[in-house]
Amino acid sequence: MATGRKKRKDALRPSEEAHRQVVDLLELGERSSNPDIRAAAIEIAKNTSVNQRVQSARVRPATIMVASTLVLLGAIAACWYALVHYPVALGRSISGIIILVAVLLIALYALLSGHLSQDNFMKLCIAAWEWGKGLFPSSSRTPVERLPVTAGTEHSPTGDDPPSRP
Amino acid sequence: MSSPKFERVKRSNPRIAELLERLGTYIQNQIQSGQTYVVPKLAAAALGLNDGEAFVLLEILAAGGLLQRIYNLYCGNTGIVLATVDDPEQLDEIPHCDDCDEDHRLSGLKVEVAFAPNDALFTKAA
Repeated sequence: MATGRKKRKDALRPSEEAHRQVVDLLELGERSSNPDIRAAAIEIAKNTSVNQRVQSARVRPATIMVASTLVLLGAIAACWYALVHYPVALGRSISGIIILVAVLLIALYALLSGHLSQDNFMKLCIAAWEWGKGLFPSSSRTPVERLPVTAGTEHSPTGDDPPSRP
Repeated sequence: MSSPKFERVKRSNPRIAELLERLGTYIQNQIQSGQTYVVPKLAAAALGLNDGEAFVLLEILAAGGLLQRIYNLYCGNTGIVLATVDDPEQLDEIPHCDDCDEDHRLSGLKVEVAFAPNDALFTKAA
């Protein structure tokens, strides 16, 4: 384990090494017996984490702004088209899907630019999935659910049953 | 020892004001004895704290505008400071080591987090 850690440490760039040192110091600070120092360490760690995410972002914030604006405008136009050219119920469903996709795309851009954590992105995806399931009316499943279960079940004849054909 | 910024920081953190006062005195002594920056590890040893606690106290002073976090990049062979920067990204623009006359590999460099005075309270003239 120690060898593996040393190897990883050797491969770090100086900026990464500096960040690691800061994180190590903050972890030490979080174990302080003084509650005020502990609270301050946690606060600093949060800010450090956000700064590090933004600094190591793969996409520039300006690019993200442009892409998000385009997605938003596209979504608005698509929703308008769906509501005008399709029946109300279908138009609403299509609009819901469009909004869902737009929100997920913008969240993905925010993730890539370091303004959204992976944890929050996953929470958003789960919430979107739950919301998306509600877009489709449950009546579409009802016929399948109402199908009589016959295979593999025994049916004992009663007096109400129609007479069987020979 | 007093300055409006320092007093503000102590007022914001009343329960660690005494620790901050001790740290402030230590920093002032270090600066007056010719040091240009404060290293958390040394401050911790002087104040009887662990490295993390000293770092957090120094960060609190930095947040109050009294100090600035800096990074020193050392040559691993000679221990000479190659660069001092305030943005960690600048550390990756590794300067040529004149003493060794070579561009060191990553494994031949050492990084140290430190704090430089940013307020008249912690300058030599104060």
